[in-house]
Amino acid sequence: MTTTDTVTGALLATTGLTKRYGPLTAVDHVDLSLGRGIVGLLGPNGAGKTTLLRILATVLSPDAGDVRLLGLDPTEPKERLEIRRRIGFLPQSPRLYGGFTPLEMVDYVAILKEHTDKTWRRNEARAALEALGLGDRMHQRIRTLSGGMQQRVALAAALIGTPQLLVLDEPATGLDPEQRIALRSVLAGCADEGTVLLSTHNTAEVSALCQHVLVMDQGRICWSGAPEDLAAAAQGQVWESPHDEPTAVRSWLTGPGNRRHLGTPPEGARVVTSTLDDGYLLVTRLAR
Amino acid sequence: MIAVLARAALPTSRAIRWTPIAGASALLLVAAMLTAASGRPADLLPAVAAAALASLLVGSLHDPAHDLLAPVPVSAMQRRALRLALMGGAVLLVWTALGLLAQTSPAATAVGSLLALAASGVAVAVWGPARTGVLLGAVVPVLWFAVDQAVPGGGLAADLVGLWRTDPWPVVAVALVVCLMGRHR
Ligand SMILES: Nc1ncnc2c1ncn2[C@@H]1O[C@H](COP(=O)(O)OP(=O)(O)OP(=O)(O)O)[C@@H](O)[C@H]1O
Ligand SMILES: [Mg+2]
Repeated sequence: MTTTDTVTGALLATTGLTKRYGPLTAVDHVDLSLGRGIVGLLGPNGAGKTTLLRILATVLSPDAGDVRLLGLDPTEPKERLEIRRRIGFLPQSPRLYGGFTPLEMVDYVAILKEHTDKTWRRNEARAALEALGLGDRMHQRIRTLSGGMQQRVALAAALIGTPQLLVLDEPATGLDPEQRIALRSVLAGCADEGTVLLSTHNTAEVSALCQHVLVMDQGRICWSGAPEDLAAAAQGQVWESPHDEPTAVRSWLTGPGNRRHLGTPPEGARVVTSTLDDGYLLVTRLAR
Repeated sequence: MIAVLARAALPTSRAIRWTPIAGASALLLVAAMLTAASGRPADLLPAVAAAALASLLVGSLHDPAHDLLAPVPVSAMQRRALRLALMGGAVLLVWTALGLLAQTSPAATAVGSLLALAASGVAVAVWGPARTGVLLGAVVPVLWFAVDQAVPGGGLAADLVGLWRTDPWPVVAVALVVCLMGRHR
């Protein structure tokens, strides 16, 4: 049975979570309560996503606020150890040992995750690498792999041991479309076992994969809900025309001679169905 | 935990970069052999060797996969200790070989001074900033040696900067306490 927080029933819960770097507040009073499923974390560059994910992966300590992961308190050394046995973490731009093969790298992480049985480790590592399309590369030196392949090795390392909480910082970065699709199936499988929290800049990824989406801006969670609700948040506020619009709060080119606008549509405007991108742009705009 | 570290020893030894220590050791051993052959006393060689080997020992803490490994149950401190044990074994072998080759007093090649420089570097690496801590720590032994050479003898300053040679064990003890205080970093 999955351990959950006895009070909230959440696998991951925070209250007033705050992290400062000198005068900058990178994570600002974040309250979260997440259960099973895949949660997408969207936000502009510098919004605080990586900082938040590092705190939730027990890598970084917050300056204020409470965190409970899998019903346990990461500030207690014994409980933190137990959490670490049950989480998987993919950092942003992970670096690996170039002289190792993918199989050795994933096996090494499994050893450090206290998995004792060598046969089990090797089988798990092989299965994770195969699921991520590296079946034919697992005996090749990592330094000879492409960037996207190295990213998948790091992902396989995060997945080892079927973690109940999977924290992934931009997992699809550098992956080709085919591998992105493969990653979706792998993560959907992981979500059956627990919570997957992933940051991304790709709203298509969120639509395809996530049951819940969080939008972060300037350290705060400025929106939280289902992806379709985020798309719907901009309904009636998106229109297209060939030229600039004075009433638009944001306009961008969508194709030759066509601009898309966000804001209050003028009389007679060609209002179009809003997408997740529109919703995201609107809520980050409103948050400022 | 000991069993986990024992299991991790072989792959960790493969994750460590051995080329710098191999190169430096070869140079030091050749220098020791040449000075021994010339029959002149190798006054400075043990001190240079202590600084170089201590610096390389601290440098072995550099772990490119640190971000990926940060939340594993084996803590950063335990992983660092494993790296130091593996690299420390090699450093002690080279140090012993130098002691046998170099024509110096046994006091000059006593292991205390090497450990004092290394422990100070490790303490700085542990407490230094996440990205640059190891680099700063690796600079400490070389810098301390250089300052010790530069400061003229006789005064309090000279006594202080010479502590790693004259009283290495208290330096080791203080540095170890500082390291232990930073074990959760
Ligand atoms: N170690 C650090 N020291 C000082 N400031 C930092 C540090 N790490 C991050 N920051 C700052 O904290 C803020 C949030 O950074 P963070 O990396 O969490 O953003 P992000 O949402 O992950 O951005 P991106 O989408 O570009 O990855 C930024 O303003 C960043 O400059
Ligand atoms: Mg980031």
